[in-house]
Amino acid sequence: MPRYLADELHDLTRALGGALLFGIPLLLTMEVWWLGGQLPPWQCLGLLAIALVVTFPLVRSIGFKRRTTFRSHADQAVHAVAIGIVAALAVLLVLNRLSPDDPPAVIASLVAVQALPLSLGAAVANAVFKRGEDRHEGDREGPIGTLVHKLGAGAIGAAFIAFSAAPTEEIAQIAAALTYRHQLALFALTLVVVHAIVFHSGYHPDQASQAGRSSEQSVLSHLAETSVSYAVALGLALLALLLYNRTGAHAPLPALLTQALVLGLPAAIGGAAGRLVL
Amino acid sequence: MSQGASQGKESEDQSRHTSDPHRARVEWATLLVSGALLLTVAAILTAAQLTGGGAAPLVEARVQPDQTRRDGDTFHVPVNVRNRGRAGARDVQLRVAPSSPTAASDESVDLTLDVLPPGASETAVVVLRTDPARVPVEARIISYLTD
Repeated sequence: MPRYLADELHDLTRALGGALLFGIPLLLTMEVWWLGGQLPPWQCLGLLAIALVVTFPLVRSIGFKRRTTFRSHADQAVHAVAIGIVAALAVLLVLNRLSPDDPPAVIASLVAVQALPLSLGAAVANAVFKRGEDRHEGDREGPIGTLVHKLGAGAIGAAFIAFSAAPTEEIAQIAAALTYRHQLALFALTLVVVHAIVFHSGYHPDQASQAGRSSEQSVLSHLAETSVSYAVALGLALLALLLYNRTGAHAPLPALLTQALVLGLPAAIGGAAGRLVL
Repeated sequence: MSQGASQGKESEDQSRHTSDPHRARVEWATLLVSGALLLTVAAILTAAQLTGGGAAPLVEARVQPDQTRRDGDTFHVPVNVRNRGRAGARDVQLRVAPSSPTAASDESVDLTLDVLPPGASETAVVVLRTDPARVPVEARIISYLTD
């Protein structure tokens, strides 16, 4: 892939990671879903305008792009809000809070309400994720030590999010409304988002040290790391649900797994952030 | 990374400006897509506001007896609740009961929907002892809140 295209994709992925890290708690809050259905359209429009206005100074000082051909930062503000809209739409569809059959005005209102916090997260993604070149991962660690470091950092990030979201009612409510299709989509979305945040946001150390390593080995290694990290996040999500007694250990396995799957989305995103930040 | 190389990297990132023509084309393309998405959402909201200004909710409920599922002595009857109005409704309360109650079928079920946005519909399932195929069952909106 040409460098200029890869840079742009890395920047947008970095913004998506920041958006989800900031906005996932509100994406899982029922009062915010209700707000989207209650607010008149002009107020939702106002929220979009506020998002544009507020993200502009944030992208001027922090932003999510490393390099840009634009002199001003207005492009990053537009991107940040657009990424907030896309992230809200994708997550709400997968969680069955939205349906393609819903009226366009309802969909627009719901995503507009969610776009504000998501766009703030996108606008400060550079401050959230450390550059890969500055991290000295694996300098003195062997392969086992490196693996333990990676999983540990991911587990800390996953636990941070999972244990704050597990006590809420929304997890069980969302899980009860998911069809098998939604569960599969949620599983796939989580894997894709986590993989993109860790390996395609331009901040992973491996991207700075690809010399001498075949691309096929890298892809397989990265996929394996993503899968293991997701498994760790799912395990922590299930543990959090059991500890907070949100689901009994005697509950049917499908019910347990569905709730863990739902909580696994924010947990895995937290794990991805922990993997890059710690 | 050495300190000198790190400082060089810092200054390169702080300037953040590049004049790569290929990068410029890609950035303009993604900016156009993002701008189009924003304008689409804004246009939908604007149209909704202009066509629905001052409107009120219009909530109606309809029993779906043909989709009833029997479970032993009980009947699981779907009820579709729809807001045909142009404003959202909150705390929608409805009652499902036989349309002509008799001594044998005088049960009624009350249920509440938290939020029903304009144009949206929800399907609730009430569990009755009355067979809707023998005794007609109706759903009636009792109350709702509006802004």
